[in-house]
Amino acid sequence: MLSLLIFLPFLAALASLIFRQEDVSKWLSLAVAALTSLLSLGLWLGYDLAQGGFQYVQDIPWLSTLGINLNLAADGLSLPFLFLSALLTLIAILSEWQRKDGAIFSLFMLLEAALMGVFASLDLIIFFIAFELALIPMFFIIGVWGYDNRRYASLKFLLYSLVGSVFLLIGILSLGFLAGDGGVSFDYRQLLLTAPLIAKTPALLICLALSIAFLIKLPSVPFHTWLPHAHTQAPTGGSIMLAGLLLKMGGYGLIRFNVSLFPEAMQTLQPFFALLAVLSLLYGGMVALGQSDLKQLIAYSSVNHMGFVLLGIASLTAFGLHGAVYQMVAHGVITGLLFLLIGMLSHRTHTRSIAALKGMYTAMPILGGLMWLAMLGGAGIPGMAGFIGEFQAILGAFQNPSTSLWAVLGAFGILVNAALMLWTIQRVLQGEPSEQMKANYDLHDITSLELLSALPLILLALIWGFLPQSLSPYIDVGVQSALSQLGF
Amino acid sequence: MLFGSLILVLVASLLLLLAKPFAERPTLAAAIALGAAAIAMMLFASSFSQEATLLGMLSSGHLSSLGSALMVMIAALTILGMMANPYKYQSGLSEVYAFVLYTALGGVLMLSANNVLLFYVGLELSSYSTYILVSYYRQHKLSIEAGAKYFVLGALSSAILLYGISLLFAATGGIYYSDISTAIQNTSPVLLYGSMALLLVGFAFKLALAPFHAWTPDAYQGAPTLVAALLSVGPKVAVVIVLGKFMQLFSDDSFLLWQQALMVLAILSMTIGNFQALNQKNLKRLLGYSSIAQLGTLIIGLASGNMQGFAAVLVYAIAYSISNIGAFSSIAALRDSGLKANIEAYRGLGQRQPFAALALTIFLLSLAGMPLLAGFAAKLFVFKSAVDAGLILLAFIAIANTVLSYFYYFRVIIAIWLDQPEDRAEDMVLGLKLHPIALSALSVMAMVVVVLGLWPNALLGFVEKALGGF
Repeated sequence: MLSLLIFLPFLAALASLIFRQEDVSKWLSLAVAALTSLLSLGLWLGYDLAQGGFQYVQDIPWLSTLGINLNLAADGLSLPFLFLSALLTLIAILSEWQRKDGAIFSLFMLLEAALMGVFASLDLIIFFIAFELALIPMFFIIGVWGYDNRRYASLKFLLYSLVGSVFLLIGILSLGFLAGDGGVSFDYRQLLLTAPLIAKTPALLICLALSIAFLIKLPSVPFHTWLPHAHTQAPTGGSIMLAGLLLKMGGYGLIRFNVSLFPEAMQTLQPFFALLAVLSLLYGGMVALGQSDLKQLIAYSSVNHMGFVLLGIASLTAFGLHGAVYQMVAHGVITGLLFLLIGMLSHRTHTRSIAALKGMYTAMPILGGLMWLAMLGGAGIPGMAGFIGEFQAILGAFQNPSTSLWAVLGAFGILVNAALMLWTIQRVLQGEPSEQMKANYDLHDITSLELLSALPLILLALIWGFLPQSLSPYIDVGVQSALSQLGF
Repeated sequence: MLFGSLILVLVASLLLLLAKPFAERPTLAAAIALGAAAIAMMLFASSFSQEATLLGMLSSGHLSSLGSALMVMIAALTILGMMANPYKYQSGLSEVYAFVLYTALGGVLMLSANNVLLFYVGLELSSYSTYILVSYYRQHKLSIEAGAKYFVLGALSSAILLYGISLLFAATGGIYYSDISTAIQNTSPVLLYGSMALLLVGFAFKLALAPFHAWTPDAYQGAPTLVAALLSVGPKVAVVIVLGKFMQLFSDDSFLLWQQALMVLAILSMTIGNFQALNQKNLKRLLGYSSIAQLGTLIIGLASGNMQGFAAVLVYAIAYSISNIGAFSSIAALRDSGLKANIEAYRGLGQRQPFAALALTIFLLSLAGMPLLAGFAAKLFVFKSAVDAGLILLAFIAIANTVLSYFYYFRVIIAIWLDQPEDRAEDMVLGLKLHPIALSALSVMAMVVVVLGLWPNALLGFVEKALGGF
C-alpha cells in the first residue's frame, strides 16, 4: 500500500509530462492527490496502536547488489506526515488551480512522491534519494512560477539544501559502513541494533554530519537564511508545500535518525542543539517583528516555530519529543493555512506589504475571520493544535535538568511569537481598509472553491487542538523507539 | 567472436576510407559504419562469456567483451549524431566515420591485448584517429590549433607511457601481462618505481587528469562537437580499464603507492576541473572541464583497490559515457539548428525547443549525479567503494566536489528553463527545429539514462558477471 503512495504520484507526474495537456495534468494531479489523501488517511486509521512499531512493511528489491532496497513501512511518527503530504499537495494544487500551465501540477506530483519516499522509507539511501529528489520540483516551482526575485531565491534554496546533502550522504555512507560488520547495511531496522556498536568519536561525527543536513532543512538559526527568500518568492502552492512539509523533513530526520540511532552522541550535542533552538525561537521571532512583507513575516515566524521543535528534540525527554512532533504536525496545518489565506489575500490586493494592508476583516469578513483564526493558531492559543506542541516542548525541556535553563529562555519565544501574531492581526485585519485599496481592487470575499480548500486545514487545526487524543497516541507510539534507545 | 568483430570493424573502416563512391553518399557510408558497429556490438555481447585467444596476442573474456561493446557503442552513438548533419564534415564524409571506427578499434585492441606492446599499438591507433578527427575542420583556425595542441601533448604522453613500458620490460624481461606479474615479485624496486612514475604520468595525460589536463578544454572547444564527445569518453574508458589491469600487475606492497598517487590525481582533477568549469561561458569548454572532474571521480574506484571499486569504475564509465555523449550530441544538434554553444544563447531554450532542452537537462542532471538517473547509481557506487576501502576523507572531498559541480550544471539548467530568450529580434526564430535523426538519437539516449537510473540493477548485474562476482 505504501508503495502506491509513492508510485501513484510519480506515475501521474510522468504521465502529465508525456501528454503535455493542461487539463489532463490538472485533473489527473487533483485526482491522484485526493486518492492518496484518502489512502493515507485509511492507512493511518488502520494502524494498529496496540501492536505499535512498523506496519505495512514492504520490501521491494532495487539495488540489491549494494544492499539498497525499497524498504517501506509506516509507524506513528510517519503516518501523520504521510497524510499531511497528500493533503497539502491537494490543497497546493487547488491553490494554483487558475494556472494555465500544466507543468506545475506534474511538479507537485513529483514533490508528493518524493515526500512520501522521505517519510515512508526505512532504507537510508532511499531516504537520501527522496530527500534529494524533493529539491528539484521545489526548485522549479520557485524558479519558474515565483515572484520577481525568484531566480535568486530558488538558487539559494538549492545551494543550501545541496550543502546539507553532502553531509547527509557522507553520514549515511559512513554509518552503513561502520555499523554493518562485514556486510554494509542501510536498513534502518538493522541499524537500530548495530548503530550503538559504533565507537564514540565516529558516532559523534556521523551524528553531527546528519544534524547539519537536518538543521539546514528545519531550518535552525544560523542556517535559516534561505527560508525567507524561498517563501517570499514562491507561489502560494510552493509556500504551502515548503512550510508544511519540506521543513518537516528536517525534524523528522532528527528524531528518526539522530535521536534513535545516536542517543549517546545526542546527549553530547544536547547543549548545542538547545542553544540553536533558543536562538531560533528568540531571533526568529524578533526578526519577524521587523518584517514589512506579510509572507516574509510568516516565514520568519516559521523559524520561531521550528525552534520549539528543536527545543523539544534537544530535551531528549518523552514530553519533549512528543511535543516536537505535535508541533511539526500543527505547524504544517496552521502555517499551510496561513500561506493559503495570504495567497488569497494578495491575489485580491496585489500586495503583501503590511503597511498597505489594513482593515481586511471589515472588507472581507469571512476571509478575514479565517485569517484571524489562523494567526491565533500561529500564536499558539489553547484550543488550537499549535498550543499543545509548544507547551509540551517547553515542558519537556524543563523536565530535563540539563536543558531546564534553556527552557526558561525559550519560553520567552512564546511571548515574542504571540506579540508578533497579535500585532500582525492588528495591522492587517483591524481598522478600516484604505480608500485607495477599496477603489482600486475588487475585495470580494472568499469563494466557495477557496473555502473548500481551506476547510480541511481549519478543521484539522481545531480537531487537533480540542481533541489531542486523536493524534497523541500515534505520536506516543512513534517516538517510543527513540525513547527506548534513550533508556526510558 | 572477438576476432570476427575486429575484422568486421577493420574491413568496414578500410572500405569507408578507401572506396571513393561512399564519399558522395553520406547515408550509405553511415549505414555501413553503423551496421558494422551494431553487428560488432552484438558479437561482443553474444560472446560475453567466451574466453578465447588469438595468436597468443589477443584474448577475450568478460571484461574485454564488456569494454569492447562499450567502445563500439560509443562509436555508434557518435556516428548517429554525425548523421544528422553530415555536410558539416566537408573534407571527406566517409573518412570521418572511418576514423571514428578506428578509434573504437584501437580501444578494442587496448582492451583485448594480453601484452603491453599490443596495448600500446591499440592506444596509438585510437590516438592517431582522434588527432585527425580533432582537426577535422581544416578551414577553422580553432580546430587546427586544437589538433596541434592535442597532437603534441598526446605524442609526448605516448612517449612517456612507452618509456614506462620499456622500463617495466627492463625490470621483468616480459611483455605479456602474465609474465610480468610473475617476474615482478623479485625485481629491483628502482626500475619498478621509475616505471610506475612514468606509467602514471602517461596514463594521467591520456585521461586528462589534473595537473596533466591543460590540453583538454582547447581540444574540446576546437574539435567538432561530436568528436569532442567521442574524445571525452571513447579512448578514456579503454585507458582507464587498462590502467586497472596495470595496477594489478604490480605487487601488493606497491599498491599503496598507486593508491596515494591516484588519490592525489583524483582530488586535483575533481577540484581543478570543477573550479575551472564554474566560470566557463562556452558549453563545450564547460563540459571539457567537467569531464576532467568526472574522470577524477572515476579513478576513485581504482584507488579503492577492491573488486567493488573496479566494478564501480565500469558502472561509472558506462553511465558517464552515455550522459556525456548525450550532452554533447544535444549541443551538436542545437548547433545544427543555429544555436551557438554559449550559455547565453541557451537562455529560454525550454520555450524554444522543449524536447532538446529536456534531454539536455536529463543528461546534465545525470552528470551531476541526480538520483533516479544513471549518474547517481554510478556515483553512489564509487563513493561507497571509497568508504568501504576506508578512504572516508577522499569520499568526503568527492561528495563536496559533486555539490560544487551542481553550480555549473545548474547554471546551464537555469539558463534553459528559468531565463527568457535573450532577444526576440526579428532575425531570431523563436522555435528551433531538430533533425529527426538527432531527435531520435537524443530520445534513445535520454531514455537509457532514465532507465539505468530507475533500474540500476540490470547494469550492476552485468558488470558483476563481467568481473566474476565482487
